[in-house]
Amino acid sequence: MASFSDCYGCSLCLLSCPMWLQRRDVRFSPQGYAKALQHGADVVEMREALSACIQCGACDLLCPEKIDLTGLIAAALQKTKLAEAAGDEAVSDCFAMSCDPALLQNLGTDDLYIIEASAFHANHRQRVGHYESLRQATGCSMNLDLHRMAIATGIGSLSESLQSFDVKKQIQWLIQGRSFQRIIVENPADKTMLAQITGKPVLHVSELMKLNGSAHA
Amino acid sequence: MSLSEAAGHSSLPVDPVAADALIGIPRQQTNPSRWQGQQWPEFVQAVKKQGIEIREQRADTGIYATDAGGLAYGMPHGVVVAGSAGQIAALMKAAQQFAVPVTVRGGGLTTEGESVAFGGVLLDMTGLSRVLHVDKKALTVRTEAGIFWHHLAEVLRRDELDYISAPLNLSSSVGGTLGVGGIDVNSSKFGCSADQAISLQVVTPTGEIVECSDDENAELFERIILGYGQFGIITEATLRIRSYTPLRMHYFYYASLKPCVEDLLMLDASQACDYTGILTMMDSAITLLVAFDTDEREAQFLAQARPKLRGYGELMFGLRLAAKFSWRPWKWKEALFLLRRKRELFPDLQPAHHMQDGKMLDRTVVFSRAVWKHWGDRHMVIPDLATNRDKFIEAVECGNTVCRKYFPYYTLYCVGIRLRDEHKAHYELSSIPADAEGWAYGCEFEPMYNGVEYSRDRLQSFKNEIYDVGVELETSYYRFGGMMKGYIRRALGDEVVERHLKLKQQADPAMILNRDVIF
Repeated sequence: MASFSDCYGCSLCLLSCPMWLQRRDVRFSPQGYAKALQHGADVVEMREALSACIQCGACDLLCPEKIDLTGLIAAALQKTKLAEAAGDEAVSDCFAMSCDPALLQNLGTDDLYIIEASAFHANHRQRVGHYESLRQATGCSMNLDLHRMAIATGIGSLSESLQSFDVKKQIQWLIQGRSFQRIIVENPADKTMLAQITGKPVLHVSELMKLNGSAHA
Repeated sequence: MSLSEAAGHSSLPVDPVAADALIGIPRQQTNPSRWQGQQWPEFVQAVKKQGIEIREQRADTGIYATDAGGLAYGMPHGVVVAGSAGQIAALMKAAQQFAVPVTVRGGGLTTEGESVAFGGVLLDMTGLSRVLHVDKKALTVRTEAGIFWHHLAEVLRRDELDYISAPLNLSSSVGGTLGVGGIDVNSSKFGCSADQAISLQVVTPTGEIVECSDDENAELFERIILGYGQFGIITEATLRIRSYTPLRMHYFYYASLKPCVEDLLMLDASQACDYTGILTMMDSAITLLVAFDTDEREAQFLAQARPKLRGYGELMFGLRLAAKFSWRPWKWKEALFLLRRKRELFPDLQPAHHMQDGKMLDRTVVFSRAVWKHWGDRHMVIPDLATNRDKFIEAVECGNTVCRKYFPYYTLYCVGIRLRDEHKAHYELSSIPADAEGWAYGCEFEPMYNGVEYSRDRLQSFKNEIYDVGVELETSYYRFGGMMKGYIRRALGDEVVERHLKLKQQADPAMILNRDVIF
């Protein structure tokens, strides 16, 4: 298994890293963590930088060395005791619902569909084709970047609770230039804040199904 | 006059060298001497007084220990993350006063140590990487120069726009690219990335903030574009952009280099395609890739230019290759390599989630990821030759012979660059050969390690031998800085180099900005 010592600084992990995009400082990136550790830093010194990671998992897919960056960051967070501040609320995986044919009928060009990032990235190979087909078939917008990574909202993350990640700024980037009248979310935790920031109606994917009379759990 | 005689008459010191090139060009030692300035503490004090943060911890400086080439290693005394043009101007004023070297780094995608600081300050430009304004009507973008091309594409695509041309490696920065050229598979149509710059904000080596373009401070603009970071630090850039279009790709396969290169030259001259380039697996499987922005252009190509091409489709080429190897059973290792490579590479060049209706949606990402996955390595060794049209075939064939001598597996990447007559002054101290008219051509020669560890000396000898071909053919190189700067005088001539050195000495009296790159 590759570790932080295998990072040779290609910068690819920065390309989809929400933390780096906000800070524009390499210390706030998986590459920055790896290089700091390679040059003698310890995780306690890196506490501030580590606390900014929202653990969306996009970097794992971009790393050419196949380093389990998210796993290593989680382990480092445990060492700093920062992880203890995290809630233990598990995010439900709505991928099965997104495969329901009813979704095809109910999603339209005025919708912005927010994929739950960490579950998506953890199963990227199996899921990316499905979401891309859904997007092409319905014409809806999605929170996908050019790499087909999901742009995470960061809502409910440890970093948000530590106030080391600016969720509002992240959502502004997510919606920049996207035209939509309604938002559909997979993660129920996203609903309130997305509605507040965008002023648009926000539905959980299960609610979208119910709206049209489909029977879904 | 021999080069050593020329060096003896030069105001430049002769580099302390390791093994020279085969034809006697003194080679820059792999790592320049580390700057040991006693004045560092006073400099840091002066800079900190102005509110500029300098990071001196090893954990911070170690991030920048090498570049994409992975052959040059150096540590800065301190790192400054760029925050504004004003901050950089203050830094440069103090650096001039205390004669402290400043090395500027964007994506760090140099291969010869050009973005590695051998002491002094490392200025990390990625801190200045936001898009400032998109003018959808005029089709221009104003952006901070530390931005990665990938992030620029991300922002532009929200408005269905795209940059015109950028390196296939998307973690290269806009500022760094404008300083060296930037080649894309549409450069044969639009020119290099640097030719897309309309105006720049620059911090000079003495700390003035200057706006420059073809009309305003034109002389500075000439020196900055393709200037290898010698005459200023680009902090903002206004670039031409265009409407986004998905691509229709076609691949043609050749069993030898010459007909493929000839077809590339023919397609570029007739402007039959919007994108052209050659990618090879050794000299056994040579791929000519062409692509189009519109269905009309594609139809026109298929009717008029396609019949003239000598390349085969995938199936026919596969059969011919199988027949060839069946007569040469001792080459089974190469055959297996080609098969494995095809199986790994081809799906990544047409990933389903980046395709729609047979068109490629995100060439920037597809090509960049494929380049990293299938060509990139910890040692990105890619010596190149840049020639005019007439010398290109010979350059590719000679370089290929060198590759065969050094490595069992390697790849070549060839592309044309449309030249702009009005930018001749920009090209003067650059990779564009002085005798190129209309188009220049570049070929990169890249070993594929296939699990084998090669020594730095072997890799350096390979680079030297490729560059020696350039000396024989009297042509130029894309990567002539850093470790390869011993070749600059032979490629560009003493007169040009001396003139630019005088300009550099005027602009940068303490000779502190990117000091080991060119001079």
